[in-house]
Amino acid sequence: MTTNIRTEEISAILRKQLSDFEKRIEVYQIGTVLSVGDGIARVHGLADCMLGELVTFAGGITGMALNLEEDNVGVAIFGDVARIKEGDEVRRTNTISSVPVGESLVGRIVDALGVAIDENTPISAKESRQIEVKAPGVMDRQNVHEPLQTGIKVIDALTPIGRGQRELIIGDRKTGKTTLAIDTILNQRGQDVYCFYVAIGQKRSTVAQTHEVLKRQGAMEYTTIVAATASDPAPMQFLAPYAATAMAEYYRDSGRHALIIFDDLTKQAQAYRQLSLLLRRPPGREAYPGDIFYLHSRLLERAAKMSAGKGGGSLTALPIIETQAGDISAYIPTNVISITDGQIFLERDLFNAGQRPAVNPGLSVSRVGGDAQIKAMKQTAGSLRLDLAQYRELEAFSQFASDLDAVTRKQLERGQRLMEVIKQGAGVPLPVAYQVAIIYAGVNGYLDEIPRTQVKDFEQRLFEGLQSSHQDFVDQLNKEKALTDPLKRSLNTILTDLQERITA
Amino acid sequence: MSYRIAQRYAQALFDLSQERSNLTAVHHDLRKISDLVNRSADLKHFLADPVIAMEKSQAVLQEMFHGKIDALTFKFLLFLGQKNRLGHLPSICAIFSDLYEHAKGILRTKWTSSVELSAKDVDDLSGYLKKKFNKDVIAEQQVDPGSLGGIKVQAGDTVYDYTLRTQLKRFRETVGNAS
Repeated sequence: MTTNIRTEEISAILRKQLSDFEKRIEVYQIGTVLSVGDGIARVHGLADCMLGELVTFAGGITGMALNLEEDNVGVAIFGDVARIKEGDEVRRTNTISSVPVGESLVGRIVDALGVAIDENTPISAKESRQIEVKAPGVMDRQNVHEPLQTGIKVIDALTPIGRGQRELIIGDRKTGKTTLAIDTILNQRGQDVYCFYVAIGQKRSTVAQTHEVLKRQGAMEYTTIVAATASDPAPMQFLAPYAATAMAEYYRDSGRHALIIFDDLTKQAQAYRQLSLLLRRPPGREAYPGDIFYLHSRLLERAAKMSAGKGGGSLTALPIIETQAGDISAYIPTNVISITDGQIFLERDLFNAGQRPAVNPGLSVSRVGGDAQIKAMKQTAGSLRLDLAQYRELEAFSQFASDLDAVTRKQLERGQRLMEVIKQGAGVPLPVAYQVAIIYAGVNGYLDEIPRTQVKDFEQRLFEGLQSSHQDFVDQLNKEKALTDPLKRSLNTILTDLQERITA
Repeated sequence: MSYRIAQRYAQALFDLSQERSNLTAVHHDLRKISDLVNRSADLKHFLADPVIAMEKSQAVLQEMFHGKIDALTFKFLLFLGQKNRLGHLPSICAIFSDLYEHAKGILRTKWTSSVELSAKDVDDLSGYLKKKFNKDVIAEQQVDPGSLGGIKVQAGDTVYDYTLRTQLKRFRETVGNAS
């Protein structure tokens, strides 16, 4: 790289720079560090400092003013605290914290300040946006009505997600929350949805793994990872979701669609608790500060479906919350449940019983997504919900199967097969037509005669059949988006055919 | 918290001395005391020590300052001792000085230059600053050969930087960003 540059070129460039360079007086405001520790510096001076303003310490470390008091300013430090000494000069930057936004971030891994951490070239964005902005107003929004297909049968059928919705993914550790989110990103391929995966307080190795998965499946072509890992200072972990939202809003406000996943907000709340306690704000329940609800509500309010006049873009948010031993009545889970438009509840017991994704169909709801579901799915999913509810009620009696009457036994059999149908492997999102076909088979009794263990086999062969010899059915369904009578007839024929071949 | 305490005492003393029109004398005294505290570590420890009994500390103050400073300042010191707030004395002095300068229209500035400024330079700059801020200017001069040339003036929290070093740094940034 250095070999080809001629010296006269360098001189020419320098000469041009020098002639453009004007001698100018530099005016800035400073303060002095009074005390520093635990990621917080108290600074004397900085009299006109704004709340949320970025300041720089000696050595180029940045910080953000979070507390403005009578005689000092509390600054959260985004870097190595050990390099800041008492008495150091602190300089105002006159800018509220902002991050670069735009297409140049696609496929990159950045930190909470938008600085590249993927050992690639630095981000050169034309535009930047403030990290903390107010959510769109009432008149700028419209109802959620377009589907955001996750490619996961049980979610698209029972708790459908619309573009612009906030749907919480909640569950204990190791119940497949992240997998669910990653699969959703994988399914956005070719859907013109820009994805943001915000890793908060995770291990770096985990982030690397996630990146690897997304890259292998080609999902990094439309995804940005914003990482504030466990080893990053608490202010970075606190800031990362806001920064990523600012990046995603760029698409929302230009009439495009974005999906953002916060993995997870429990860690962010903990980082904010640490920060607040160190800033000596009074602790409340579970030692969280008084504005912990506002912390999450103002973040998730920024997810929106914009009105046609505002371009009709959308920002869908999938926050993740980790519970302890299934306790959804703890402080942070109840907060976020009440903020979001529904939740997908993942259960440890289901997961261990091999029911994956371990979605509890009873406790999971989607309050607005129904409008966003395509008609064909609505037609089939209605009876799925009912059948599953009945099955759950009768499940306890399943041990006495031989003593039960025929109707109850039939319901049990049906329920077991449906539970089998909603199982799905990780990393294999399904197109909506395929989902409709297999759920239709389940709720219309095409699986009742097939042994439970062979349901997966049936599904496999159905999908193969749809792909190889019934592409016309899939195309037609994708076009009509509803199960019209002719479509129903052809699906019935396909299923009867397959049923006969398997039972034969 | 400590700032608020010191602020209250300083304001009270300031108001009272203004009322009795011996502001300058009190200011002068406090400057002297502040200098003394800065020079003597023993005095600093004595003031900050919460264990010393009140009678003893009062006696020490009596011996040290009686007759040497204005009666109001002396009474203030004894009062601080009684209230067990002697530890705040250095910050009270600093805040009082700020109040005094503000009331008198004095601007404290810090000048940093690469070489010692000539008398004419000082005069010119003082005159300029006086006109610009419409205040009397007190300058604390510093020589820093590292600034390479030019001058840096700090007034309050604001720095007016005209040093060669900063100019060069800015040039480096422009060139670095351009390539």
